[in-house]
Order: sequence, then C-alpha cells, then structure tokens
Amino acid sequence: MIKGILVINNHGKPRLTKFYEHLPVERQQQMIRECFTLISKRSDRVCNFLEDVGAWSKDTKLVYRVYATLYFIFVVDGSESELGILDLIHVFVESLDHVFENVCELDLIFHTDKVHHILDEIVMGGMVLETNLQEILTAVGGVDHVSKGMSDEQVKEQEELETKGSKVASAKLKLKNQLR
Amino acid sequence: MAMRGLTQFIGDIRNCANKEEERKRVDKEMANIRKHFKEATKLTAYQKKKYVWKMLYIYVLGYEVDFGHMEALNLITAQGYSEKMVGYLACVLLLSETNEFLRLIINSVKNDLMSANEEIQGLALACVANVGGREFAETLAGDVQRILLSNHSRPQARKKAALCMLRLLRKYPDAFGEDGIGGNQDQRDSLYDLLEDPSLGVVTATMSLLIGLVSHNPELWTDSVNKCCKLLSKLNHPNAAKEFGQEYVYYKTINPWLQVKILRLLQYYPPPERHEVHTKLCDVLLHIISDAQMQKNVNTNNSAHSVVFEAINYVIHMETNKELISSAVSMLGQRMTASNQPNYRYLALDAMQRMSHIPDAAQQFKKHQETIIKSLKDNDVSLRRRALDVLYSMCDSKNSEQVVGELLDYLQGGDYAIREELVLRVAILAERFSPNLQWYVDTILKLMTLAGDYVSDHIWMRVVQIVTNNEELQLYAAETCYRSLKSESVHESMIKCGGYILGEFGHHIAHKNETSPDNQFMILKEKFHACEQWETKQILISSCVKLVNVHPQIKGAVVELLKKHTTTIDAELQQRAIEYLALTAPGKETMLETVLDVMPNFPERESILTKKIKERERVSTTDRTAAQIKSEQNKDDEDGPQTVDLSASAVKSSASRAKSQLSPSQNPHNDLLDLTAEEPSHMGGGGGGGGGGNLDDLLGAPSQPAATQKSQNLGGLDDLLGGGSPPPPAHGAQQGSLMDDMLGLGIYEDPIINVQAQLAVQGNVAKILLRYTNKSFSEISAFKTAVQQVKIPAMLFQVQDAATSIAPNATITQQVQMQAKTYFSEPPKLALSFSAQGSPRQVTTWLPVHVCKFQQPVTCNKDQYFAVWGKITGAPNESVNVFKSPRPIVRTDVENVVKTINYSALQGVDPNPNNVCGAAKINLGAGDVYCVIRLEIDSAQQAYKLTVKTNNAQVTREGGWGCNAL
Repeated sequence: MIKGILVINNHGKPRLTKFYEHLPVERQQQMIRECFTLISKRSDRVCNFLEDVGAWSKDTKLVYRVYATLYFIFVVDGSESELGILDLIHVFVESLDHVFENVCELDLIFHTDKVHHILDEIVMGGMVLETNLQEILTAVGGVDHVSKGMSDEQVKEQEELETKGSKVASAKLKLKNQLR
Repeated sequence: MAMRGLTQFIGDIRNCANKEEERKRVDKEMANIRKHFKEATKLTAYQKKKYVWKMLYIYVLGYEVDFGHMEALNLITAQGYSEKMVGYLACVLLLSETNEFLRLIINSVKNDLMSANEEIQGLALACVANVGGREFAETLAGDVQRILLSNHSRPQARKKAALCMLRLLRKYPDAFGEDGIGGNQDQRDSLYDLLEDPSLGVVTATMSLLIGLVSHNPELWTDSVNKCCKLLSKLNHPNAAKEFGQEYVYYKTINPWLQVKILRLLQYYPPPERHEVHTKLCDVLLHIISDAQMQKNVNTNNSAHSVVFEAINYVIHMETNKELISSAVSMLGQRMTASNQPNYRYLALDAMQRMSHIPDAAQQFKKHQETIIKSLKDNDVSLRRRALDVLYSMCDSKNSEQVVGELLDYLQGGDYAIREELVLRVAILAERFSPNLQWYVDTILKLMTLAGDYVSDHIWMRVVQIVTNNEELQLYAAETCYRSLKSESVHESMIKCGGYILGEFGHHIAHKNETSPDNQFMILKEKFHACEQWETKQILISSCVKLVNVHPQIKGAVVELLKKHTTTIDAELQQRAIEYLALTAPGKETMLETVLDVMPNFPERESILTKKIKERERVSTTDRTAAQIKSEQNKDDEDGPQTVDLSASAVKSSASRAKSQLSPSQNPHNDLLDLTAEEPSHMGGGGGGGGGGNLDDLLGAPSQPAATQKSQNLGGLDDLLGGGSPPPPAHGAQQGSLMDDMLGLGIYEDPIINVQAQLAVQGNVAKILLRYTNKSFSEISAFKTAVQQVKIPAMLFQVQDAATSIAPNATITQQVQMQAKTYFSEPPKLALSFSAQGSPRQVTTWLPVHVCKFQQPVTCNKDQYFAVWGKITGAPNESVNVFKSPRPIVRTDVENVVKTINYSALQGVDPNPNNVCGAAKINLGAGDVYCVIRLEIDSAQQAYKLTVKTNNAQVTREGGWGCNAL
C-alpha cells in the first residue's frame, strides 16, 4: 500500500502532500522534513529506494524520482513492487505534463485542485487505481464538462489570470526534457 | 481553481522573505477566513470555495487548521462538482477517520454514491476509500459492493468501488457481513467475471481486491490460481497488445502493474497442481525472466523489470524448479554487475538474499561473493544494507572466515548508518559458523575493539556463556582477555567481558609469570579508573574477589580495594564491596569458597542473539504478504541462516529490546548476586530510617572518648548532645545530619576502637545498628558486648551476638533492638570488654536512646495549647526549672534544641515572642501522654525558665532534663 505521496521542491518546500493514513499536522511536517533531508543528500547515481526511514514503521520504503526541481516521493510498504512505483510516478508526471502542457513547479502551486484531481485518478486510498495515461486523462478531462457552469465572476477572473499568464509562463521549468 | 483572492494569497506567501513573515501572513489570512465564516450564510458558493481552498493551502504549508471544518463539509452537500470536490478534499485532508463531523456527511456521501453522475460518484468513492472510518464502513459497505458488482456500473466507478472495498476490508474485515465478501459462490463468480472485464483498469483493481481477500482467507479463493495463470499467459502472448489495446502497453510491457499483482497473488498458493497449468506457468516465467534485456530507455527497463523481479519472487516461492532457478540466478548475476544501474543492483541483492536458502542458488551466488562484498562499500546506504543482508544469509561454515573477516574489515571504516546491524550479525555468524572456538573468541574480542559502542551486553554475555560451557576454551579465553585488557585503550564492553573471564578463569593462566595472580589483580584494579559505568565496576569488584578465592596470597590487596569501595556512592557497588569484605573476614573461608566457586555451566539454550533475530516484528500493514504467511507456517521447523524473514528491521529492533529481555538466569553477574544474597545486604542502606534524625544533628558533634566523658560528669543527656559544646548553628546541624545518615553516629572512639550507632525508632521500638571498627594494627579478641539498664528496668532488649574478634581495620556489626515499656530517665549503657594489644580493656558508653526519642512533635494552635496548659497545674504533673545559660542565648538555636528533643516549636502561641513553646506526645504502652513545655528566656540575665506540663508525673519528671540540653 502507498502510505503517502510527497512532492517537495529542491528547497524543501512541500508542493503536494497526501497521506493515506491520517496523521497530526506536526507529525506530517516532521516526516516531510525527514524525507527531504534524507533524499536531498543522495546523489543521482544511487538507487531510487531508501529503507529504514526513522519516521515510518519498519517495512516502509521511500521510492522517489527527481524531475527538474521537484522530488516525487512515494512512501510505500513491502507489498508494492519498487519498480512498479517508479513507473507509477512517471505516469503521474506524464499526466501532469499532459494536463498542464509542460508542467512546472508553478502549476503545482497554483492548480492544487487539478493536481489533486489527477492524483486521485491514479491513487485512491493508498491503492493504485489506474495506470493507463489515456484513461487518466479521460477521467480528469471529463470533469471539465461538469464544472463548465462557472459564474461570471469566475470567468472574469479566469481571463484576468490568463493575461497574467505570460509572467507565469516565463518562470516555467520545462520538465519534459528532464524526464528520466 | 481560478480565484484571484487565492492566487493573490499564494503570491503573497511566495514573496515572504522568511518563515516569520509567512506566519504573519498566514495568521492574517486565518483571521480573515474566520471572520467570514462567522457569517457563513451570507457567503456565496464561490466565496466559500475560495476560503476553503485557502484553508487547504495553509494546511499544506504545515499550519494547524482547526476551524472551518463544518463550512468545508457543507460544500459536500452543494450541487456543483467543484464545490463538492473541494469539500471532499478538505474532508480527506483535514479530518481523521474518528472525527465526529464525519457522521454528519454520511448521508450526503450515500446520495453521491447513488448519483448518476460518474464524477460525483467517483468523488464519494474516493472519499470513502481515503477516509474510511468505521461508521462509513458499516453504513456504506453495501452500496460500494453494489456499485462493483452491478451490471450498470461503468468501468470508472467499478475500479474505484473495487479499491474502496479493499480499503474497507483491510480496516474492518467484518463490515461486509458474517461471510465477508465471497461468502457464497455467486459473489465469487461475479468477482471472477470482473477479471475478464474488457477494461484492464477494472481487472487491475479487481486483482488488488482479490489479493486482499486471499490474504484474509486463502481457502475461499483457490479457483483464482487457474484464472490468474490463464490471465498471465494471455498477457504474455505475442498477440496480447492487439487483444488488450495499445493504450495498456506501457513502454513495451503490457500493464506491468497487473502482471506484478497476478504474480503476487499466486505466491499465496502452492504451485498449480494440474500438469498443463504448471508447465504453462513455468514457460511464461522462463520467458519473462530470460527475455529481459537491458534497454537504453529507463522506463522500458523499469516496466519490464518490475515483472521480472516479481517473477523471480515466484520462482523463489516454487523453490524446486531447477531450470527457472538457474536462469533467475544468471539474470541476477548480470544485474548485480551493472554498475550504472543502482536500482537493479539493489533489487538483485534483495532477491539474492531471499533466494539464498535454495541450495542450488546459494552455490551459484558464491561466484558473485566478491561483487557483493564490493557493494558493501558502495556509497549508497540502501545498497550497503542489502549487501549486508545477502552476505549474512549466504554465509556458511565454508566461507565464514572470509565473510566475517570482510565484515570486520568493513567495520573499521566509519559507516555508522548500519553499524549496529553489522555488529549483531558478525556476532551471530561468528558463533554459528566458527571453524573453531578460538576463532570465535578472537572475532568477538576484535569486534569489541573495533566497535565497542555497538556491542550490546548480550553479545559479551554470550561469549561468557560459551567460554563457561567449553572447558578447553577457558585457558585460551583467559589468556586472550588478559592480553586485550593490557592494551592501552580498552573499550568498556571489553572490560566487562575480560574482567568477568579473568575472574572466572584467571586461575588457568596463574602459573605463568606474566599473568600471575598479582598481575591479574593489578590489571583489574587499573581498569576501575578506565570505566565509566558503575555496572562495569560491579563486575570488576566481583572478579577481584573471585581471584581471592583461588589465590589467597593477594587477599590483602583485594581487601584494600574493597574497603575503598565501602563508601562509594553507587549503592550496588557499595553493597558488593561490603558483602565481599564480610566474606573475606576470617572464619568465613568455607562460605567464601562456596559463594565464589566456579560458575556452573549454563544450560544449553538457543542463543539469545539468534532468538532475537528470528523474532520478526509484525508490522500491521495492509495484507499479510505471502512470505509472512509462509514463515508463520514454518515457524516450528526453523533454524539455519536461511530464515525468509530475516529482515534488517528484525535485527535492529532486537538489538534494542534484547537488553531488557535478558532473564536473570541468563545474566551471569546476576547469578553471582543471587548466591551472595544470603549475606546481610541491608548494611549499606544509608541512615537508620526516619525517627532519630533530628537528635543526631546535635549528637553529630565530635563524640568524646570514654575517659573524658566520665570526667565530665555525664549522667544526663548533655554528653550525648555534644558534651556541653555549643550547639552548632542551624545550617551546620543540617550538614551534620546528612553525614550521620551516611556514616552513623560515633558514640565512642579511642586509639583502638571506634563505635558507631545508627538509630531507627518506630512506635516504642528502637533499632540500633552498632558498628565496631578496629582501628589498631592488631586483632581485637575476646570481644564481648553487653547492654545494661540504668536504674529502673524500663526496656526489653534483643541483642544480636557479635563476632568475638575484629581483624585489624575490619568492622563488625551488631544489631540491638530495644522496646521501651515505660518511661525512663537515663539511656541504657553499652559495655564492651575485649583484649587488644595483649591487655584486656573495658569500655562503657551510652546508647543514644533517650526517652525523647520516642516522642512525636505535635503541632497545635494557641487555644489547644492553652487548653492543655490550663488543665495541668501544680506538682507532680508540672515542673518548673530556672537555670542560667553558660553562653549568650540565641533564640533560633533554642528552637533547634527544642525540635531536636522532638517537641514542635510552636509559632505565635506565647504572647511574648521571646518565649518558646513546644508540644509533643509520647506513648509507651499506657496511652498517649501529652507534653507541653514553655521556655521563658531572659536574654539579659542569660537565664531560662522551663515549665514542663504533662499528664503523667513520671514524664514530667523526666521532661525536666531539657534544661540539660540547653
């Protein structure tokens, strides 16, 4: 089972955190910090698995991948295939990349709802729900039909935001080239 | 989520220069949200949504968000998708499964589960899966099951329902009725049908659910084996891509996740019995394993290998198929050496470790021993751990010397991350596969030298056990330990182990000059300064005494050492020193021999170390893995290094727990303690209990030799109170009392003998512990003691027989118990007669027991005081004494004296603040007697007027002595 999913940037700022076991905020933060300190120290020539992480129970492993400035960390127990999780992370990033077209860290910050939505279509309650990129995109895309009924106010804001978009775009870090 | 307010807020947070600013901004925003939520009815849906998003953002930043939960949950009941979405998200992120609020949304969730809108249904399912509280499980399990099995459900919903059920099943297996899921054949069949669903997503999710079900009750689902085999071969069929559709081909492998899951499930069952199924399965596995090639693309490799490694797990599970094993081994060998692929090296090592119990495989792994050892020095800690595991499990008696040598070698490097595991494993391997016992001893001693801090007590205790039980090893062990102790810096574990072994087996090497008893003792003695733990010194002192038993010639030196420790601050060490000292006293030779005899063999029992390592810590996660179930079944026919469940975690946890689990009989120095327990052990116990403390303050002043006492016309108590010397100032008295508690109270001293007494009073019984110390250099012989009463026979005595002689510098003790039957005016006498330095001597002194010792101070207020005061008038119950003080009167000193004689010094009772009033009660068999005293002070004249009133004439008479005290 997947116990938690963390996306942390290279300064240790969490960009997405989801725990599938409920934990108090303090403990969550402690775990995030510990994961980051452990993983940020590791060179990119070592393996993508890390065991025996103090904050979690004994058979927990961290499986992680690094994309540009972001660490994607999945906290899993012994019942998951390590390589399978590596693939899953990649599926997640590919989905993000499709939805946001060249995803960057800013997308994760400003579109938390979308990111959560995509994640929910891939992992549910700590279990792998879907691994097929096409299926995921269909499921996420389907939502747009439902939420089209935006209020005028929202539409206006949306437009405004899009004009600001150029500024945001300049900060984009292209992930795709760095997909490993 | 296009919301300007939110975007603005996020922007602000991002612009914060430091944590402090961020906190300020967050606090401001929280206040803002709180304000708006107070008037929640006025908010539009959009605003509500915006504020909840802000809350969530703040939460993700790591701040506690403890408000607004209700508002967030209300969004779930809204109609729109985006409101519901944020509501559900808030519910999942903020609430724990036990939260009370969850009860409030059950109905909304139930409605959403029924929703015709697939997205909304999906949200509800995700919420049940993510939060999954008990009430959710009980109320909604049926609905979820219906969605899964209904003919009308679309794949999206079905997938989610399957996982949702799995989640509920894991948490609350009883939520699905008595039979659970699949209790009847129909349910099982419809679930199996889902495995043939055209959507592989549904199949994958169903497979996850099935694994959960199987792990709960494998018997119920035996049919799944054939179905899984079929599915697996279909997925690996050359035409599979066409059949299942390109979209499930993930980097050239068809749905690797599903394949992994199928292989996992199969491991819950023995290999299929039907021949054609079995053959088919083996073909597929062989195909998977041998076709795996390293590709350029990382993701292609990953997806292919995730299946490969799981296939290898299945091969390990099958155990017997030689062809498969050898192809798996050669595959692992290749991956092992792929130095640029740490992930595969990690997994290969992991698989090797689990495979090493298969003899064929283990033989072949030896070819890779060098590579594995190299991995032990890899700079990736994950790899190092795996390599250690593999080396540990592939070690046998043939390669143990090399493997253990390598591990010890590695220990010299500074890898602290896995040191503790390493040490424990070296200890176990050294014992289990030692080519000879000497090598074993050498290895452990080396281990202690290299990594002493990580050598827990049970490791060296194990050495002691083995050496004790193997006579031929004892000489060698003693020699080696002696050598090790001799080196300059010795680790404390080594001192403990070496100290114990020298004490026990030192006599084997005593005939050599270099290791003569004197030298052995010297080396032990030196180590007293080198160790930090009391425990070590305790072991050392026992060892020294053991040496005395075999080599009486060093007795003098050892006694010296013991004496030095009779006043040590550590109670255990002090107790040992005192007890051993008593044992070494003349006349105790037989006892000394019995107590300090060689330890009997330890009963052969399983090494604590191995036992620990076998104890697998059950981590209550998800499904029990197949390996877990298997190891549970095999628990009884264990043994050997192969145990499947030898995870690093088990080792680690055992190391920390082992210490506390050592039973006393396994603990060698505890054994020793048990034997000596018959010796009096209460002697070092500090002060003589509660009662007598206060008088001792004064009594603590240097006591006088008997001669001077007599010349001072003692009679009363003043000699006991310090022989007329000025009462020490209050704080000085305090110090004195501390000292007295430790040492007892000197009641007599001359150049030959020192007598000390410790007093404890309870009710009308006083217990006195007397210590006689011979200060001279010759023996005191014909030692006799007698307790005598003066004047009236008011007391009953029980006097323990004391030893008849006291060796030079030795101390003997004697207990006297005294019961006061009535009131007495003079303390009992202690008469000693003995012969020292050739001439007989007689000494008489007083025991420090006066009637006031049995008094208890009473606190009372003015009215109570004067009620008693007024009742008693005139002789014989009232006595008045006027007397002069030999020195200027200080009121606080007077109060101290009053307290010392066990009266309470009452404040604010006497109208004249100069006067001192006191009250006490005493009961010596004839009911409580109340005593009140009043001391009027005339400072100018240096005079006192003491009035004593009691309701017993005798007490009044004796109470008058107080003037002596002043």
